[in-house]
Amino acid sequence: MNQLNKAVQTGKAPKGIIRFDKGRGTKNLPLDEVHFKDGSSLYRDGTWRHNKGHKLTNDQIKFLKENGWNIP
Amino acid sequence: MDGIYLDERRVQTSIQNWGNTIISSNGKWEGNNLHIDEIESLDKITRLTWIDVSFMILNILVNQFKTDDSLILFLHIDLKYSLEIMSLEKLSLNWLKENVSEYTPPSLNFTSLEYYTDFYEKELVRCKADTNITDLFNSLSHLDFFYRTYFDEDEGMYSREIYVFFKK
Repeated sequence: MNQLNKAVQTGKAPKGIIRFDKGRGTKNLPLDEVHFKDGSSLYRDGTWRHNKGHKLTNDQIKFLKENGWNIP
Repeated sequence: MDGIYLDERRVQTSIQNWGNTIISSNGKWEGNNLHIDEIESLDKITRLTWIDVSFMILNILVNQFKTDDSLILFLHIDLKYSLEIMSLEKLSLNWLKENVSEYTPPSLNFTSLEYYTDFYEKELVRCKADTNITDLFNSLSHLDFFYRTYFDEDEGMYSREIYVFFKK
């Protein structure tokens, strides 16, 4: 997660991604999660936590796939 | 917390709307969380004020928020990773501000009484809070502070978290 967040901070992650949160394996915080600028967020298993109509860009899909995310 | 202004009405409405989606689910509790930057009017909040604002919100909620008796409200605070295992006897405000995660804002959560008893109470380690934290709250006796730490193989460091539970 630290590496992914550093990629966001240094502009190496695709536009529209604002941060990555660590999943805690609990019912409340089950899986790693990526947050987008429009308020949407996507769990690592490819399920939306909040989907505000976010359409993933090709760059986002590529980056997330490369980092172990399933794409919905 | 001088200099921090909260639009209390908008914050409460936003949280109440979130809370209603949990409470109205016919008794079926599911995982949920609301990061403080997802609350209306707080989307531009910065790390410098995450802790102060989180406690301000928690203080509003413990005094005014109405929930189902079977649900417990808690604040979850991600901390920075550490090369050393954390042993925490007393949590202070300054330490928390220095050690809060660089990336993930604190989040509000609801858990069921059952999950609290079966999981959180067993998994977490209880700690005390310094008076510079407890003095911020009007309903001190209802708050329980816990922490959890474990070695994260992916990061090669210790993961650390703080939990503040509000029980009626």
